[in-house]
Amino acid sequence: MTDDRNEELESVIGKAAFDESFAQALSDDPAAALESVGIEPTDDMLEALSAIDAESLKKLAQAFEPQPGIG
Amino acid sequence: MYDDTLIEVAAEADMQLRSNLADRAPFVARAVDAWLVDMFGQASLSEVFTRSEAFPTLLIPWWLDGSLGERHRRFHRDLAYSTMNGYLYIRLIDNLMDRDAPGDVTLLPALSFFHLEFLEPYRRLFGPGHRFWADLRTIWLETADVTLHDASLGDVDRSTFERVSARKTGAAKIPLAAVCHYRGQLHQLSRWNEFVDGFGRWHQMHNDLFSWRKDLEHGAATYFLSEGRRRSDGAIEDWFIETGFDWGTGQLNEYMAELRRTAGTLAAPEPLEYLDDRQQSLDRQVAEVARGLAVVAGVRQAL
Repeated sequence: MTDDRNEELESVIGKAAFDESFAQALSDDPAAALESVGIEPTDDMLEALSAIDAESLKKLAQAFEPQPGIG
Repeated sequence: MYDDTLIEVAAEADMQLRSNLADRAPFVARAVDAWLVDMFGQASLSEVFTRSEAFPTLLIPWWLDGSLGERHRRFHRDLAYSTMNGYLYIRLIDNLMDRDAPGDVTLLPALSFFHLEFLEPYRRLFGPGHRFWADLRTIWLETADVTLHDASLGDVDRSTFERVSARKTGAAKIPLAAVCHYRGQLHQLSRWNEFVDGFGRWHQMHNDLFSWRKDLEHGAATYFLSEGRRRSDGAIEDWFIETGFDWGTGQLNEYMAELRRTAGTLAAPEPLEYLDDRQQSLDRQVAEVARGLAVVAGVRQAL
């Protein structure tokens, strides 16, 4: 894997983990979500992403959102 | 976690604070109201103080006092009133130092009210030459010192975390000193102070772990982020997903184990029960994050 491809991949992984709207998009329309971050989706990718658990991904992002409180 | 009487006491202290501020400094009161809404939305100060995830700054003196005799409601209302004012004093300064938190320099005159009212209940309880004041001075200035020290850090290792960052909540020892002096039971103080220090480590590590995204965005130096930079040669996000979260929960577990040992030396059952609740709540958070990270691993494999 080239450095550019690796960087691109890590950026998508980071978005999937910490961006709620991207997590939802990845679940609703994986092809469009991947294209939106510059990845040309393959059939294998789309098949692997077809049953993605968007709720768990969204909760992951929410777990690290700032919470109001007395700290 | 909070019994009904303590919740009532907190609500009374909150109302007293609002009422005194509105009577004595109405202009400041309006600005403070807006600031509190910015920070906490529609939640009252007493609600925020008694949330299950809040630093138990009202609970610890409540437990300590209950272990020494029958609690006096008026005394605890005084402690809560002082603690809320002291907290707002520290929080306003913290927010202004952070520059990215609610509050601006026009709120600075509110510090006069918060500081006076933080001290006022203790003035009524303890005379001018009372030994309580030496304890207060030591704790209050140490808290100021570590707050400034922490803000100056560019990198935080474990030792610095424990000596500096985790001691920013040290002002919680002031009402404990008040309880011990009020009851004439000073020999109890050091063990309860140790509990506050231990809880401060766990609490700060918890904050570092679950607020790492905000800290990263704002350029804050924390133990968790510093360790991430030491342990990875790429983006912090990748380190977090691969091993960082597990590392952070491992630190939390170590601090909790230490804290439970300290709590076991206290002549009160509530601290251990409280730690059980916090651990269960953390376990649920960790399980939820682990489920999410497993999905992320699936996404990585798919790509």
